[in-house]
Amino acid sequence: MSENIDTVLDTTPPRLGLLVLQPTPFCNIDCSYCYLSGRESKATMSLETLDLACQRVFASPLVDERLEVAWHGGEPLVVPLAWYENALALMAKRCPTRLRLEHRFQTNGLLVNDDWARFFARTKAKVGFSIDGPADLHDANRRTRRGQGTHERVMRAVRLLQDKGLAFHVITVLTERALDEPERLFDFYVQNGIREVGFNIEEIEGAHPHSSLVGRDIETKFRRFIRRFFELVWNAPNLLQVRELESTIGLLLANDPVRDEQNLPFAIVSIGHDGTISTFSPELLGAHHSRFDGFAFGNVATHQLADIEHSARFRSIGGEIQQGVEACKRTCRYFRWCGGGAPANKLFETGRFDATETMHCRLTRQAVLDEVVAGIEIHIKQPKVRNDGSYAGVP
Amino acid sequence: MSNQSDRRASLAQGSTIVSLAAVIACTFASDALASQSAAPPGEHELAARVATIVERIRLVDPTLLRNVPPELKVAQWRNR
Repeated sequence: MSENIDTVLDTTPPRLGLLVLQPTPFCNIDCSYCYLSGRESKATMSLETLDLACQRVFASPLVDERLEVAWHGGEPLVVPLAWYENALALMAKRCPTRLRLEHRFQTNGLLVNDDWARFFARTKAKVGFSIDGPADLHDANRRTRRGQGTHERVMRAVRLLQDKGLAFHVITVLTERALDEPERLFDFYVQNGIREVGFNIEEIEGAHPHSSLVGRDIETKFRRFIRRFFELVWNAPNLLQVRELESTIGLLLANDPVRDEQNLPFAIVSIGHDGTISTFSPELLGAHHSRFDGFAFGNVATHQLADIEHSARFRSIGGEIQQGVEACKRTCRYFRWCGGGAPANKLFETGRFDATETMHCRLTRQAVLDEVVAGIEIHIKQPKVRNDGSYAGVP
Repeated sequence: MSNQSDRRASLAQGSTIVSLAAVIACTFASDALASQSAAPPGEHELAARVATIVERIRLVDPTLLRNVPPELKVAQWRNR
């Protein structure tokens, strides 16, 4: 495969737009659907490793004017705030003047306090809370290692940021149980002043090899959920911004076929606490699979980003990912608006990167696109109400 | 349209309050063609259905198509 890699891989120069940094794999809670295998390890990234990471990334010609930095664990806030004070100062010092960094923290919220809130405000970091809706839905899966629910504590963090006027978004993991409750979820977000939400699904990935969402009957429920949520959002404009609806409409309006950043080498670069460098799906960082000897393509201590593309492992995995994208392009009617699916989901659902359809893409790409298109069509078809209450175009 | 520039500004800024879904909803709410030419759901292939929607938006407010933030034109990693 390696001799013709350039003819297989998409050779359009990518832009490195997202740097995922793992300050620690450790998480202070133990969600039932978590894909991370190393979340009991309390190892942390050293500032020396971070410094090397900055040097490698900032020296890359793939970086242009803007770089999103996602601090993603484990739970990133288990690393002391003082470490981040030093880390962001270091990054600012290393950052070229032409480059703007945007920091993001995805957190379970349990450790957020006034000091963290001030830090988020001062650094203009974007904060995402992981909240699965009302307490019973949330606490069914998002528990401490002692089995206690975490809803009350994350909602305390929500109120803290709201009191300080800080924006945040929420990511909700949808399990089968949540699919029956779109109205309750919508009301929960609105009543709690949550303005932006993204829906992830319970994925088959890494250390979580099962999902409550497997099965065609679940797909029907999932479609019903999206359809209903679209209606709720459409009928109450600007109360709630839903990432899936926004991004799907954006993809529909795009002139060119969509590409998926997870399928483009170096569009996303993930760096582990130990300096391990990976790319493609961030979930591959630290993951294990019987077909591959890991997904580390190098280490900041020894590799420039440019070195990585010459490694046999990178070429093998990159080639298989691109073959999967090509197979999607040949066989899937959704390809133009999808870009070939997520490599990590293909691997952990089917055992291969060159696979095509997965549960993940049926739900998060196909079903969402179908329901958004159908939802818009319904409103295009609806006769317009005249001022006198009659319908335009209807005798 | 009287609120055209407001919508463009909202799109360009990627506002956290004004959503694309809401902008499209407002577009069709004031669309004089809305009841005349839509294809029945399921009659066309997906591409044709999407093209119909896009064409309708183009007729009503072409600036919406030009001002979609670039990050919404790429399928993005969802854990952020």
